[in-house]
Amino acid sequence: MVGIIGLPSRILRDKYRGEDMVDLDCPLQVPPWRDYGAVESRCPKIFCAVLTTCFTNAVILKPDVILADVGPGKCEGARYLCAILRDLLPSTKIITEQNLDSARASASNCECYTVPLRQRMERIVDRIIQPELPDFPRSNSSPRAGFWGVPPSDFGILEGFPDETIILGWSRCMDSRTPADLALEMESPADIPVVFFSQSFCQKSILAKSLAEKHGGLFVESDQKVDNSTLQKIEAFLKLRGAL
Amino acid sequence: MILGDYGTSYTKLYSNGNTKIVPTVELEKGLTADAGCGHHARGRARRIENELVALATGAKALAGRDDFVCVDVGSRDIKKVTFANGQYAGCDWNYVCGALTGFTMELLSRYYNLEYEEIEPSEEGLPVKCGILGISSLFDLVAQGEDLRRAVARFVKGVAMNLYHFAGRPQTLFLAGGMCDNTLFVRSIPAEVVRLGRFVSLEGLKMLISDGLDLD
Repeated sequence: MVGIIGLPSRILRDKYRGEDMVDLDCPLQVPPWRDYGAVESRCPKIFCAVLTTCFTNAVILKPDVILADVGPGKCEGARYLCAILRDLLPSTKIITEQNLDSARASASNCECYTVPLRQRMERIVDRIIQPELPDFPRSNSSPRAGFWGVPPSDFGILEGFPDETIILGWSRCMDSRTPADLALEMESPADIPVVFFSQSFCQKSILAKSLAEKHGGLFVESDQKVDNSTLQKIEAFLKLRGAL
Repeated sequence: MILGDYGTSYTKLYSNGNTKIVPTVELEKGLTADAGCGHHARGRARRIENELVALATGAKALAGRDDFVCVDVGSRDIKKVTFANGQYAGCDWNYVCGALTGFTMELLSRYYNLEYEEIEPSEEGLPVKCGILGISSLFDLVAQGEDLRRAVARFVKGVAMNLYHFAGRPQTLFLAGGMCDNTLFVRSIPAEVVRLGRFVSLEGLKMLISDGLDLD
């Protein structure tokens, strides 16, 4: 089994194409996930939920190989995580790199307004380990709202948005296969309401909050599970700005 | 028509032109409003509207201005809506910490058996970074010999300053919710305070219904 952290370069992923691949950033259906001693004893409770998921999945699955982007396309946390996993999982071959791919792909999943936002975000994530999945086609129409940020720990946050929501931020960089593309990550249209999302305890939160201030958007952060108040805040923002 | 704003501590009800406030735990069982909002509206209203939308709509109707910021201080949360040129300009909702909320101050007044209107505001505030830490600082002050009423006034000033910063330090602040009735709190805010009262969200529900909100 090959575990993936972040979005490693195409060259690295292609080396292992055909192997049983698993995206370690995505929660697995193996509750209660916190009960694993190695996780409980090493992972602080106040820590990025996505990295906690990576750590938990790696400890549970013990992949033969882990491919990880530990450069600017992911985060310092991933670099530290891999250092710890090397110590914890001596039988796992851990290959780290800095994915600096700069050739932007079409990123059409971000601008297909006939498919619900959640389904498009799932496609962007699923394509990491299943690149044969087709992209959703770009729509000719204009978006009514925007979602900026990383693929969230809880995709439930995406369900209250209209289908005509453009995907922005690091998720767009993923779709573009250029995860370290900061210029693309910071792009945001001026004329639509945009929700700037950050995982709690993520360094990207300063980008999210600052861009929300600059563009008159709504900054929200969420940890593992999105709570009802956050969902209501997003709904109110989209309703009051005419997107719902 | 029955409307309800179902807060954590108190429910504000509108029925046939009359309004009343009832502790949420004492609500009549089986009473179902035509429309409602708030944390405890589920199962108590046939149509539930987003509470920020209700607040924004009511505030816009009551404020009588094109540019204003309105903050609703509830028991467990604080909501802010901003309008510019008569258009909605932003909202925020802090629901994580009791440092800003009415519940903490109600708890204190009951614990010390104090009437807030009998306390003079303090120019000096306590740093109320969170509700629990703020109360700990207050207890420390009292233990060090500070006059109880003055210590409480400093605590309330700390909460009022949190609210003022949350609102964006406006010259005029439109206040909604139960804290409108707390004179000490209102006088501790370093801005002109316009009290919109406790029925702003109910007013919003009425406006939304008159604008075509579907009740079926």
